[in-house]
Amino acid sequence: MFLSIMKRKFFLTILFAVSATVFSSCEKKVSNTKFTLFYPDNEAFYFVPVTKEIKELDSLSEIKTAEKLLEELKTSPNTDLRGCVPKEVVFSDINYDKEKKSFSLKFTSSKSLGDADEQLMLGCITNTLTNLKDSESITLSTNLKTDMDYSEPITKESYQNSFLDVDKPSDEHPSTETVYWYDKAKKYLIPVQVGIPKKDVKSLIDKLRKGPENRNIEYFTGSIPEDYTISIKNVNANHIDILIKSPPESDKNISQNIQNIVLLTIYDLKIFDTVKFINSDNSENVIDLTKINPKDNLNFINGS
Amino acid sequence: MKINCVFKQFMLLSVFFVLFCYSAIAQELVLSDVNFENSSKSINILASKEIKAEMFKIVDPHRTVIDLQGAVYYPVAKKIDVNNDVIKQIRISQFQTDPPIVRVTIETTKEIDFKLNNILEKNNQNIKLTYISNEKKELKSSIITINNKSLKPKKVEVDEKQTQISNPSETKKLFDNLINVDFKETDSSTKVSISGKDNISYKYFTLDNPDRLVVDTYGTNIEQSNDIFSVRPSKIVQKVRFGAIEKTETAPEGVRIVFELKNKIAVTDNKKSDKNLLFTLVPDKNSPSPTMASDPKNLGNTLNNTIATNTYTPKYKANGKYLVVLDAGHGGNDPGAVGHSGAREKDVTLAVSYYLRKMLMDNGISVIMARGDDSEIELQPRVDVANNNNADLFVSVHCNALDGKSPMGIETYYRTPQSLDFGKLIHKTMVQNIDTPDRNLRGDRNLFVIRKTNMPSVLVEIGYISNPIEEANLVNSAHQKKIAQALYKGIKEYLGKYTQVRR
Repeated sequence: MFLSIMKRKFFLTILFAVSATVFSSCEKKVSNTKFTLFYPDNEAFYFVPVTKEIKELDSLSEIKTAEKLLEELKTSPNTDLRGCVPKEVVFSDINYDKEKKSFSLKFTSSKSLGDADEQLMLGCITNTLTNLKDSESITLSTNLKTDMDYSEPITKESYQNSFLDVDKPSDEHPSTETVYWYDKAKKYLIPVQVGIPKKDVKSLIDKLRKGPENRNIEYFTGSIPEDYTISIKNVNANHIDILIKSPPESDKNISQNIQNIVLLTIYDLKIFDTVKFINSDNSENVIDLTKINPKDNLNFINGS
Repeated sequence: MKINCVFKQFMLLSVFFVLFCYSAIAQELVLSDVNFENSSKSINILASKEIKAEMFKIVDPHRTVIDLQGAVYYPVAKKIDVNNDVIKQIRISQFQTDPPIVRVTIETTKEIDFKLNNILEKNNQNIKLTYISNEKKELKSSIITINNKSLKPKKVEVDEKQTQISNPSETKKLFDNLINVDFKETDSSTKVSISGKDNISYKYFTLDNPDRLVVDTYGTNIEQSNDIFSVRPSKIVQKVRFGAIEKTETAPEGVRIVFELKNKIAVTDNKKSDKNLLFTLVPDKNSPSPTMASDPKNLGNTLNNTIATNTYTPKYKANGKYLVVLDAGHGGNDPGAVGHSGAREKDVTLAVSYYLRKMLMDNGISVIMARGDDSEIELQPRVDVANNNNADLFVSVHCNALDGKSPMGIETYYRTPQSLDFGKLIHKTMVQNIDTPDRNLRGDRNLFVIRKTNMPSVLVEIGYISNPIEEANLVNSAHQKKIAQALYKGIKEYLGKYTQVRR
């Protein structure tokens, strides 16, 4: 009798252990993975990066991931943004070349696309797929009559939010870098290309605060409040110390947010491995940009 | 009496007018059409008066080129897909405007020797074109018919100056002096070396439209056939190709080496020895460097430094005028975007382009229309007509469209740094003169025509035809004229920076 109970207990224990293992392995396979997708704003003026958690198998291949993301781009995530793949468009022949770090795909459509329709779609696809790890370019082909040149791979540089100031002489800014400005509703942080003296962090941070100086003032606004002071304390080859002075009794969330905005801008410069923030209360916060990607939660919204 | 006198004067003036018109028409050799008749396997070239033709062959791919001297082709460019066993395609384009040359390019499936023979048939002047397949040595024939539509048909003069260039690696090797071509890049130059087993007898010269350095070597042979510049890009040389030089009375057989250049160059002969030739190629400081930025290898730099220095200076053509190529978007079976009320992009762009053409021509600027009527023209010929004619500016006119809720406004696109100043001016004059939102001057977005043109070029989206308000404006001729006027101001201001536009 005792043996029989023991046998049953042993059997149940084994069963439980096996079930738990199977269950946990199943649980491990299905997870929510964060992806950054790019959608046009409602005025179709710029591309907005949006982080979404997408319920998917985490062992998804590059091709399956691309398929999933292209599907996501068809519908707008909310009323602030536009869907950017017309419903008539069908994707096929999706491939990934690991060596070239490049996706290739074909799109067909039963209906011709307007110039802006095609531009927006390409912008969203290019920005979204080149944002994936080990992906630098997209090669496209189509059955459509088009004004585009698909003979060469498309890189993300073609579809950055780049708006030039027509009032300024051409040689005033020797290089362009990315700043993160708010949209007019201050809801989304938008990466925008601006002209600055080459790799000059101070100019870049000044641009963050000032926001656009030209006609783009209708679309963007500076991302650092007037009552915050940001200065550079120390710079060496791979490291930068940044002092953030906040007004008395300032909201800690705002301070943290400002730190994140500065971090995003520094991250895109691709010259510093570590950043040390020194706060008004002399507390310090060192961030290793080789381990942390500040874009991971950029404009996070609830996904599917 | 008085009435009689006035009548006489009127008649006299009329006669003068008719004579003037006739002489104006008679002076111009107009190629009215080119077509291919499948039944007779003939190419019909319809011309208004006598025509002088020059024919030569080029390889990779195999093409026979016929340049029709002094001819004007108003459609600017046309492509005929033949796709029979010998002829793949026939392309016709206004190769050059000053002096005018129409180029007919016959792309063939293999190396073909064409021979031109004149045949006079009633009012038509025919050239019978026979061709012999080099592979099978079989005789085939096709006919080029030049129909003379003028009042005074004349015998066609055909200059059979044929430059025999074939792929030397496929020809019988008669000479042992094998040569090899290589190059080295420095910061400021490309050094091209040609080395042989024995002493090399040679001459070299440069050509333009497109820019080339040609080195003719005699008593030589070559086994190399690959384009070394496709593997290792050069700042100065686009590609290299090789051709066999046929023996003539004054020169032996040999190898022609043609370096296709990205821009005009200055070349120095730095021969190391009689067996080792060395040419140093540096950009010609007096000429623009348009294609440097379109090199894919330079793409990153271009995009990261979109606000680079403008190095372009437009130059008067031989007739003392600037040349602007206007590209009216879409056409023919391709209507482009269609508005809610049925307005077609192709009609709007053509109308605006014609208004602009008149304004430019009235102010002493030469114009070529990349699309001059409601025909469907591929993107490449639109670019070719600008590049081949060495145009100073290229303006592509388009209407924007977006599904769903459509914005309004003007967008201007440019690609190369040399196009930036031009883009700024065009965009500025557009937004200053047209009452619609400024949607900005924007950098490259993979647009074909501004990627492939060598001169400062812009693509202007003159408004959203998908927006009902803007659609109504875009079909309004007063608004179209206003847009043309704004574009004209931008062009005039840009050219005026270099010298005064004629008034």
